[in-house]
Amino acid sequence: MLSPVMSRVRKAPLALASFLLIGVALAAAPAPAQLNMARLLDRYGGGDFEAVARIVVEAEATEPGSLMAELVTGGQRWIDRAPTAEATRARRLIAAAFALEAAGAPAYVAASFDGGPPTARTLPRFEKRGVGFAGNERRALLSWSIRQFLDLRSPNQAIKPAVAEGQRAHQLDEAERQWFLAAVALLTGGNDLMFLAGQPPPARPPGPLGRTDPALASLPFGSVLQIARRRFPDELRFKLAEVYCDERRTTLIGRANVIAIQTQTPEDGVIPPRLLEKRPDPLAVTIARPGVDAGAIPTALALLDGVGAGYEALTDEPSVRAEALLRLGYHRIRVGERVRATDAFAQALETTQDADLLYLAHFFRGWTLHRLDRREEAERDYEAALRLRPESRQVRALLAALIADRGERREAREVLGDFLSRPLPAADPWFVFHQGEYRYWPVRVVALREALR
Amino acid sequence: MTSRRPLLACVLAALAVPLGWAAHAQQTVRPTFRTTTAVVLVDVAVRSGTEPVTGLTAADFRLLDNGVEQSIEAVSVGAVPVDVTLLVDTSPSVIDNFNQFRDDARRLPTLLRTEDRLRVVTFDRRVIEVGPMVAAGKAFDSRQVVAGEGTSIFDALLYVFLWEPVLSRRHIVIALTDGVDTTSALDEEDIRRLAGRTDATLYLALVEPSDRANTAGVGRPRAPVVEASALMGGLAQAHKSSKDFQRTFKEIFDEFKNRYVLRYEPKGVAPDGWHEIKVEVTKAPGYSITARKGYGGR
Repeated sequence: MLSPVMSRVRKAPLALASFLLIGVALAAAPAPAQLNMARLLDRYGGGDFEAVARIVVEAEATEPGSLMAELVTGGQRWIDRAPTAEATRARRLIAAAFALEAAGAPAYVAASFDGGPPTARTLPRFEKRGVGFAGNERRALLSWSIRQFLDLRSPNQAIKPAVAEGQRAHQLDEAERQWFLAAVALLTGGNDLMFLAGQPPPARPPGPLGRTDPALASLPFGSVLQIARRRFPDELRFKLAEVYCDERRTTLIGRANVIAIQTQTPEDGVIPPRLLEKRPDPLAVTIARPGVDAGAIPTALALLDGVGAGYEALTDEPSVRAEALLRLGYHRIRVGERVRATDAFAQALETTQDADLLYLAHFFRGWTLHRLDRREEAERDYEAALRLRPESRQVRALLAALIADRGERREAREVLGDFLSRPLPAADPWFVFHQGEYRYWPVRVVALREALR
Repeated sequence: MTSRRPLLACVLAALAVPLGWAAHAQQTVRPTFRTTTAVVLVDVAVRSGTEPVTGLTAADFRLLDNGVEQSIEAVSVGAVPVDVTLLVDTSPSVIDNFNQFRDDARRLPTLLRTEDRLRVVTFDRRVIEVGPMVAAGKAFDSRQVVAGEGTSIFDALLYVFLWEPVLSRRHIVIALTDGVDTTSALDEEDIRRLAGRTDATLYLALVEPSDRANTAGVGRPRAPVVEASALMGGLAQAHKSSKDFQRTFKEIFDEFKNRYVLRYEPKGVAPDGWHEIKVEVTKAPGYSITARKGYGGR
């Protein structure tokens, strides 16, 4: 947890980035007090994404919540002025995408700070800075957006799939699918599990739900993922995200919103064996370690088996197979099945060419083999991970410790170099592994923009 | 009591031929973890009640390596120059002690002898050597000790344990910390292994985590660090305030300088695996003995 002082120190680069961006934005855009929402949405819909996104950043930085107010009034008028039903739907999507970018504004700043305007290549070069910001404002923006997709004349009606059975997907359907993918990425990054996935089972009843929780009060039909799954039942990433949300609820460390930045070693996620042994009687458990939220233990233990089964079921699906295998392996580490974890990582390595997933699979398998005392194999995996991410201090430290453990202190020092003294690398996927789909937020934004063109 | 300097001279002379100490007194040991050189060094503190027992010779000690008695040589640490690594916690959880720690770092050189050396390493999430190992008389600019975020004490211990020791000097690490880790890449198991692989002795000057840090539930407890210190034959003691500075460090140095270094080449034991070390003082079994509990073999 950051102290106020440390938070200020940490936010300094972000503030600088904001300052620079504001300078650029001021040169190209009206002052926030003079926001003309219709004009902004016209520009955004016309493909002028960068300039509008900068204005969004500026407006949210100088007057938080101002965009939301403008969307509800000026944005809605802009939508209502569309000449046809088709144009109305297009405008709703444009406004929703605009709102989504506003909801992810801090992440946008971090991405831009790394090297100018985001592109498919440069957007992944950012880290976790979007975590935990302005949850309620973000929820408001996303709720308003989701309402644009749904026919709310009958609030209690079932949500229909965006694409009816037997029909071809329209371009706008694809844009909506990309919108939900991006929203899920953003929300997993913020660990807003209630808004994203609703009540955890067994409290999760079938059908429309969630109105009892304040987090869901603004949504018309349950959580974001529940709506996304009904609109796009074939999209397996939503199913993957749902399992991921359950997994997050099995993490037995303190406050959920700090786990992502505090989970530094795979070991931190391990469920204490004595808790696993108590699974038939979860209410009988005692606090496992200092800081563990005892109230979360029964829910966590009840979800554990479902998490493993959920990931396992997705390993047969090509579109999510590699990620499901990686997360299945990590889940097995957590429940003490280390040898089986290495099997999952090995399959993940054979399945994907995604450098981030390959890095994580080598890192996790190396760590697992290290703990199984299969040191030579572990060393090979650490080295493979470092070839993919030379700046990874986690892997460097582990490899250095492994080498030191066999007596080669000089070699260990060479591996470690000065990496421990460097600022955290911006792009280490390990830091966003515990933020679900957030790793994909930049590319999702790019894909959404492409779908809107 | 045996005069320390003649004893040191005798020991060095005895070792000079087989190991070339005389010609390479300042040459670093390579490889530096002891097991690769087949030479093991064990620091031993011997006390009678609260008083250190001085004047012992090798003949007064009995050392068992995995139960096998070894032929040892001994020298008083007090006669040997010391390399001190001061490890300063600059994380949010010690924010109440930060100024105290910075002051400690500034004043520590005044407690060392001219032949001793000091380096200063800070750690929060990052581990930074803010002052390289230099002769103790040289001033250290304590303004380089600045507060950061996170606490990577396990990673910091890896960094300091990789120090290349000089054969004719002893290396002690003094950590000013609350001992709670939150952000290391390494975990308890790594630290236990490393503790069995280093020649250094780890002393902990412990403070309580700040209530303001709000780290409850996110940190790994201090027990592994304390355990590592014990494994290495070091001590953990409370460091309550700046007023304790003189007392805390004096106790650490006195304790350390009154130790003996036992040196042996393991015979009759397999080189692999964990080697449990047991040290006894033959002439007075009632003495209390503090020594490292073992080391990791190849």
